[in-house]
Amino acid sequence: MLVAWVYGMWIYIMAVIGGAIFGVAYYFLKKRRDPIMVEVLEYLTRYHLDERQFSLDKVSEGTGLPKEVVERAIVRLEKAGLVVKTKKGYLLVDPLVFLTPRDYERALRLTKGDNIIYGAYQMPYVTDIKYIMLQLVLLIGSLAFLLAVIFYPPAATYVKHATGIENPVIFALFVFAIAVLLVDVIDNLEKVWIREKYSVVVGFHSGVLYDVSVTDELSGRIPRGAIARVDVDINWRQKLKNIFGEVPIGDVRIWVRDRKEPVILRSIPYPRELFMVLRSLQLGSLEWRKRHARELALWRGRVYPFVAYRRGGRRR
Amino acid sequence: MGGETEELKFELLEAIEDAYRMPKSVQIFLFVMLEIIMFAVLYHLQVILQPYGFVAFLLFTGLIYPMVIKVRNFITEMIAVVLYGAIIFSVGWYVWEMAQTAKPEEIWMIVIFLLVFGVELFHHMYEKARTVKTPSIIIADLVLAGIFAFATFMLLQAIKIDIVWSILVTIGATVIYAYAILPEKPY
Repeated sequence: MLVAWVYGMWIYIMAVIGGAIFGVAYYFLKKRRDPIMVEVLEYLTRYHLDERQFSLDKVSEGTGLPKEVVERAIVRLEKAGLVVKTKKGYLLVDPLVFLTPRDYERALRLTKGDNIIYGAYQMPYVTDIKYIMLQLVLLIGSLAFLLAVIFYPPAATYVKHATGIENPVIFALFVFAIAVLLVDVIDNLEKVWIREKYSVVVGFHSGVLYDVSVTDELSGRIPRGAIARVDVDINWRQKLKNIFGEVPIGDVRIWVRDRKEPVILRSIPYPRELFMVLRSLQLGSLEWRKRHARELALWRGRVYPFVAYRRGGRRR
Repeated sequence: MGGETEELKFELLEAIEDAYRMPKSVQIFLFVMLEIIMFAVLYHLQVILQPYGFVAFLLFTGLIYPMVIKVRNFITEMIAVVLYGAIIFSVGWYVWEMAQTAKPEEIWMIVIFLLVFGVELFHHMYEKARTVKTPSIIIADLVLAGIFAFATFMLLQAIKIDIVWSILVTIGATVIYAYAILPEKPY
């Protein structure tokens, strides 16, 4: 039986082996670039965390790497959001700043060049039941349709008669692909809408600044001395998203002196880190920023794994 | 204040996201349990030895792997890319077999399915690919969007849709496809 099965399935087994070889080859080819990224990031976080501004020549001189190699690494860091290009040169961005370059520059302008140690967008729609349901209906509905056509012959017969397509599985696969595409587009539109409306910025001197309406210029302000208490609240929908989704989120509540109700920053990325940023700001203790700058930057720059590489590609 | 400052420890884990995820052992346990359940369901349906049962099992694995396994390191990322390669090759072969006896409109549907499924699965399995914006990725996405536009137009022509409507629908669908697959910001 096993021999017959292997004979019938040999092409799939070969496909799996071929795919696995392709995967391994692709991954090893991609990993080669990492040692340079690690070296450049280590240099930047060691020497430019406070000064922030740097030039390619300076990094090239400091790391001993050719300028073109440094430039390529800086472009990748720029795409990861760790570096911003300005008229005067490059700026090192704190790893907990998740703003677009345009919003980061806006934040710098509104805080008069303050050291921005956290910046992100609130994502209230991400756990909104209406949007989740819309995406689930599209995904689960199309998947159920596909499974029904494959495993339930009357469904296949019905689709065949209704559409005139000889092989209903092909039609079901097509419907599934369209549903997946729509879910992705809905997700993208949600993110664009969020970016227009809900920025939150924490400056070393200026405290917490946040948008309160569309096209706002960070008019919501909590000076660093006015923070009375901070708390993190993660509800069950956010917990589920944190376990199975990509970016961890949660609500951060900030009690302000002389105000009864707290300011709630809803579904903010990395709430635990924001909590710690606010607590350390409240206590005037920001040593962690320097102590963990390298690890944070490696994590943010998506340089895996977090340990450095030796030249030649071997990990230590 | 000084004492309080001393007490405040900014405990940074190597992988900062670990604080939000399930423990590694629970992630592995959940993944293994889901795989066993899927195998049991396919076995019960007596399709596990059939090509589509085999492909369904691989697809399910590919779907749940990035959702359940949240450890980001050399090994887990490599497994994700390996899984992607295995799934796309076997799904490709599965639909290729179907395409042998398919009518023109069915062939174009298969092409559109492969274009969408291939990119979306890659983004699902290998999150970095969705957010990294390099000239080569943008060129690849634009080429794929061009092929998508051609396949959509040919599909509409095969089912005898008026040429003006075909052009309009092709443009709209291609914009949606390009918007979905082009690199995006994760936050």
